[in-house]
Amino acid sequence: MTQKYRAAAQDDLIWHELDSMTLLYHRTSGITHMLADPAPAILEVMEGLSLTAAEIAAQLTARFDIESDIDAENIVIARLEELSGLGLVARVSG
Amino acid sequence: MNDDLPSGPSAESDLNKGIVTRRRALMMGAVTASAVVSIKPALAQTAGSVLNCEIPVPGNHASGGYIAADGKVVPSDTPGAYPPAGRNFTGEEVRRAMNGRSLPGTSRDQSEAYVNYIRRLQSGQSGFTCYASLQMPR
Repeated sequence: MTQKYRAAAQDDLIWHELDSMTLLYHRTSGITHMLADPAPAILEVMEGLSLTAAEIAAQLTARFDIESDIDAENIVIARLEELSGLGLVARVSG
Repeated sequence: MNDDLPSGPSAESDLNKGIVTRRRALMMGAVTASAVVSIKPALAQTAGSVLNCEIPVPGNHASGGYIAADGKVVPSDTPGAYPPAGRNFTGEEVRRAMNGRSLPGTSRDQSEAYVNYIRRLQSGQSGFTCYASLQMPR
């Protein structure tokens, strides 16, 4: 699986933290997104890089305390597909 | 409640960047559990507005400027830059151009330069709301 993903440019995003979620305003689309975990963390670890879902899952595992009995990579893929449908993440050819 | 939070300045300084670093438990949820709800501006509701709205290249904020290949507005004597488009493009024409066709009356390279200009539009500039409408999901 060589599909890579890249998050929208930080300059195009305005973040605002709420108690249990993150508001994200995307300047280029004019859409405000309400993000629940793990979506903000995924965007955070992407940091302008083109990464595979496995690499993102590894970053999350390194930076956060994640339950061990879950398939992090498949969850990351599902969230990346969700975010790419909203224009917050782009698929990049590997 | 927050007894697992680290003490130290890093979390606070990260706040200033607009991104809060979660250093402890991260709820991954399930594959099927959607994590995003989007709030679309009302302008997205009317499909007709997307087809018929217009985008000037360049807009009033850069009137008379030429368009470089990367979409930046440059002085008229800049080598390789394209003159202002002689007409406004409709949302539908821009949508097609973003899908690989050329804008009407332009060469392929010229069309790409114009589309790059449109992609750079910011809120408040002529054509921005039209371009934003094109980007609405579904």
